[in-house]
Amino acid sequence: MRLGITVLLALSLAPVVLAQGRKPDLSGVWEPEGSPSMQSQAKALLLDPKAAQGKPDPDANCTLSGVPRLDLGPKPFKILQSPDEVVFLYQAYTAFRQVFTDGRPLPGDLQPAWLGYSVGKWDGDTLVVDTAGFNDITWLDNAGTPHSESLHVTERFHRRDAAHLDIQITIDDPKTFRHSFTVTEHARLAPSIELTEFICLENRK
Amino acid sequence: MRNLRSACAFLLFVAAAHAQWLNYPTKNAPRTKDGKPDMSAPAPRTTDGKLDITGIWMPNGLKYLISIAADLKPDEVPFQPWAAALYKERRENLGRDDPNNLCLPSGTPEKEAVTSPYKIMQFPGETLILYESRTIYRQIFTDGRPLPKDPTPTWQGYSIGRWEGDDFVVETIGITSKVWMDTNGHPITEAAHVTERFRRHDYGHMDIQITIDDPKAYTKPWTITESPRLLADTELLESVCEENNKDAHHIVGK
Repeated sequence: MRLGITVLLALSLAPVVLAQGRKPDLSGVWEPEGSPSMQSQAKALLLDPKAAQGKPDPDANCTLSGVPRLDLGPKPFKILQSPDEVVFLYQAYTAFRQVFTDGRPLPGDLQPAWLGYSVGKWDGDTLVVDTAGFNDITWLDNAGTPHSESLHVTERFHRRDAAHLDIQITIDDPKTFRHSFTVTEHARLAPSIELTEFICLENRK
Repeated sequence: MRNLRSACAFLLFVAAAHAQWLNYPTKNAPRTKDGKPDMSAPAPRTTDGKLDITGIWMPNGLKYLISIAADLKPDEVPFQPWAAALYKERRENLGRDDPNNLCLPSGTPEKEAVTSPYKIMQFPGETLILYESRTIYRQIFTDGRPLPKDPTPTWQGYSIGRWEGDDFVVETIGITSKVWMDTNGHPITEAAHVTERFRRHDYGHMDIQITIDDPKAYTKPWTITESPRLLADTELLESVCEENNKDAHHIVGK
């Protein structure tokens, strides 16, 4: 444990690793440092204050819990990076998410999906991921914040130093909220762990 | 029959999904004069000269998904007595207890036989397989680490890989005995050691030689060869079994 802390302290002072092409390398296993609260902002912006009521938690059915909820933890996730694609491996559900960084556009009319469709581009040292094409079943966070199929999520991933990842999440859903809002999540590198298989159905109580 | 049904359902799903997302051209694909991907072009290689098995692959038929022992005569399957009895019970029950009916995952090595696409990606230190079926991934560590001594049994097991000439050799242990190796119900146990040899012959074709060595369930190992084909100019779609599982209530056994 002490060794882990020492490694983390050393990494906190270390500069961000650069991948081929001199883009920051986000690769690694990351542990969310507590969920940011969306509640206070989201509640005040709801067009229909009752929108959140009666929406069952998809987690209870072991369907994928959606974006950005999967980012929020508490289970770790792993990022793997190639020049054309960044892959997110979530320990939750043993699910993956592909973010294409090869310049392809996000099509306008997408079949609704649990994790949506993601494309990314670099804005300086920040990976900006645009995701749309969601179903309206998932919750935005663990507290049950609702959304519609018009949801557009923008995640800005910035590796502050070798050991820390800041994720600025902007929720834009004009059918649910009066205007967009942003929360910031922090994740910490977990250099000594590997993701373990997690099959939701096996653990459903 | 169930396999055929799910394969048909899958095809319909693909047809309905958005063309713009699926029809994106694969980067660096060799092309014939008419612009189609040239499936018989030489297999690509990485900068270190090794074969590159990156791509979206599709199993060629249902044979091994139905029975991983399809190449053997029924009396040649080297069952241990208890495994033969379990297999018989599963057959007689018409696959009622197949974990797939409940949306539990397919395990290793069945996953390579499920008739939906999977994507192989090579990263420094690990090769990744993204399976469209269940939106699930499998990590194969290539950083030189050994297999763990006493891994917690999981559906996919613990996999390490290395290159032997042009073969990418993957060894897997720690597979839970909950896994059915096929829809017929050939069992596998925690004692299993599965070796997969991936060899890409050309741009569009690969063989995966799979050896099942499970002395607890079988008296000797045997080997099958899957021959997936590359799917170019497409992408994986999301597949969430729990979203619409209507099977479980109907699969009641005999």
